[in-house]
Amino acid sequence: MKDGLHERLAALLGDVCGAPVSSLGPDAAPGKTPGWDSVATLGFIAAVEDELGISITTAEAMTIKTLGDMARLVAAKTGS
Amino acid sequence: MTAPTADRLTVESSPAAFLRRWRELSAAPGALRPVSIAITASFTVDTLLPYLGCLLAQRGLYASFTVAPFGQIYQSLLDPGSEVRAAEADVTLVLARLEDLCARPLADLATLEPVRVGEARADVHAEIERLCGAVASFEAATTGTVLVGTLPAPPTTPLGVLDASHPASRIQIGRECNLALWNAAQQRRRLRLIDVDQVIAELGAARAWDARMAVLAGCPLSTAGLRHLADHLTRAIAALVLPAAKVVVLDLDNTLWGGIVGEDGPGGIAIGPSGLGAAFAAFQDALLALRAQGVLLAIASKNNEADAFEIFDHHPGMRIRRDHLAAHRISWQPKSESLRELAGELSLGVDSFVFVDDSPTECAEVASVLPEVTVLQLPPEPARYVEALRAVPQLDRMTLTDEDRMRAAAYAAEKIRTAARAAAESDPDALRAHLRSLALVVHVRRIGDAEVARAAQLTQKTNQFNLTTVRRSEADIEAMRRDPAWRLYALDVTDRFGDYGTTGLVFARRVDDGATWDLDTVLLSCRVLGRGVESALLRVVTADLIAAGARRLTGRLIATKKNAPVRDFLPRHGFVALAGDGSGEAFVKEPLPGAPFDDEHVTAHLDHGER
Repeated sequence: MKDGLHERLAALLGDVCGAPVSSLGPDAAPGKTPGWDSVATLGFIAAVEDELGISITTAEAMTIKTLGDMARLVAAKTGS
Repeated sequence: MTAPTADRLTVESSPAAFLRRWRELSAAPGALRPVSIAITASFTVDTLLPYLGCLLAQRGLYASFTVAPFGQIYQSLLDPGSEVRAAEADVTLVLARLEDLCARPLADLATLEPVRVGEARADVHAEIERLCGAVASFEAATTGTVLVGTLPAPPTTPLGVLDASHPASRIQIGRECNLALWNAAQQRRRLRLIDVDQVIAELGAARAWDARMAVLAGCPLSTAGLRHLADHLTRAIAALVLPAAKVVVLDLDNTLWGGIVGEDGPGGIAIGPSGLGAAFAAFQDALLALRAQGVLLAIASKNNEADAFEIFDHHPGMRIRRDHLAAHRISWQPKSESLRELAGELSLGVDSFVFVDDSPTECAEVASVLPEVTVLQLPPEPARYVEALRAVPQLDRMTLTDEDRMRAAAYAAEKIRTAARAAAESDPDALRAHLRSLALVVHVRRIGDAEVARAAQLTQKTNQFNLTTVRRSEADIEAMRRDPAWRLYALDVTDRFGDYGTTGLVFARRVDDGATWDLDTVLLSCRVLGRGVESALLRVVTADLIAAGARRLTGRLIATKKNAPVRDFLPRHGFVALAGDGSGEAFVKEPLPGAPFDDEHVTAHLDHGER
């Protein structure tokens, strides 16, 4: 996995849901992480697409249950 | 990675930046002016709110949102117990797609069976009549503005390229629905449209829609679509609640025409129907269109005045002529100084000015000396001047009153009056004779339904002769009209040079004992100052309040940086200062009516009944 990918995604998620970046580990998930609700999930997807220039399909979006899931998906899409 | 908080967000900023800013704003709105917005839509709008909230904040507004559950447009508009009705919001936004409102008729339309197509079209029309009826009932039952989105064309249609010419055209039935909405908006002053269809067309359907988001979020718009819609909504909402700019101050060389008149001469500049001159002619036409909406045009140029007026008076390619200009400063002084002088001459604040210049140096000078001025630095390409002008949000307006349309002509008449007055100024007898010769007539009346917009506009825009400078929305004024403790008066002034229109207000409120009336608001447009109109207004209002049982009047002066002209109004008319009460200097006048005022040259009436 690309160095710093987790940190990059955690920073975006922190912007979106307001949780401190240090609290956002790979197992951070909606419902468990303060501020991460369904609207934040959509915002997170939009932010990741915008920041990394990728497109996430509907089916892929539905599989994202944790920050770690997003990192694996992005890593697979960016080929790193 | 993400921008610092102080940076200005634009329609191109990242979603993360918007979401973070909106979270921060929601936690600490600071000194932003509150505006309440209720939204009812046929799809989910939760994802729109951060973009709309952030862009409104950049116009100084903090939005508090009430969002109805999606798909409940009729319930939220018609049920008096609904969240949206209970919110009594300043602005109620109705956003719908025909696909959501008319899913079954549109499916019937796609069958192409002639009988079902005819029925489907009738069903769609009936549904839109129902929507128009619901928004009209809502407008009648509430005091805010209802802002209805046009129905956007879908990104694709079942008939594809055949759609344009087929009787079952999906695009055409959408246009017919939007025409029905437009007709409804002509009937109701507080029913305004927002052209969502056009907003999406500007961005391009392929970018504005995102079918994934319809599945994931129940909202069919892409992030880019949401940002552009939010930007457009912000312009409309800000235009509803904030004062519009009053004056566009223009440079000349390379702004109104191509080239430099002092060097190139009248024959060497580009202005006219062809070539590069056509770009400048189009820009002048756009400025004249603003003038027709009530924006004054003025000049601040570093030039020889005679060279410049040679062009205005004689160049065949010019669209803007000398008579179109409310004022000018053509000299070699700094432009910030010219703007200050123009503000004095027009009796307007520089915060109501938009300064337009092609020179970065001049723009920077004005912006640094007069930060309250809106500065438009023109792009290097003259053919893009019109779009740059139309992107200035301070020039947006959502209602247009008769006064707006007549304003530029009224200032032209004022120039003639000022000249007549200047001739009489030095001699008190001559001044009195001059005032008598004006044949001033003042009509005072209770504010009627048709004048609420103008009254709100006056409270928003009047800074100088304004006792308390309390700003009020149309919704505020509607509510006050319904409260029997208030009497709201408007004033029309005419003289032999013309009609000034509705130019003054008094809002009086009966205090508990019934014998005291408080002058909550007294304001006059500066156009009618200095000729005894304020005395005549107070005389007529006092007589009406005495008839309503008033034994004493109270008033207070809230001093601002701009309202020096009103400071002696109360003492000059027999009011006595009380000890300060913290919210401005309090005054009382009794018994009533007191000594006569020096206003016998003004004919004043109270017109019974609303206009």
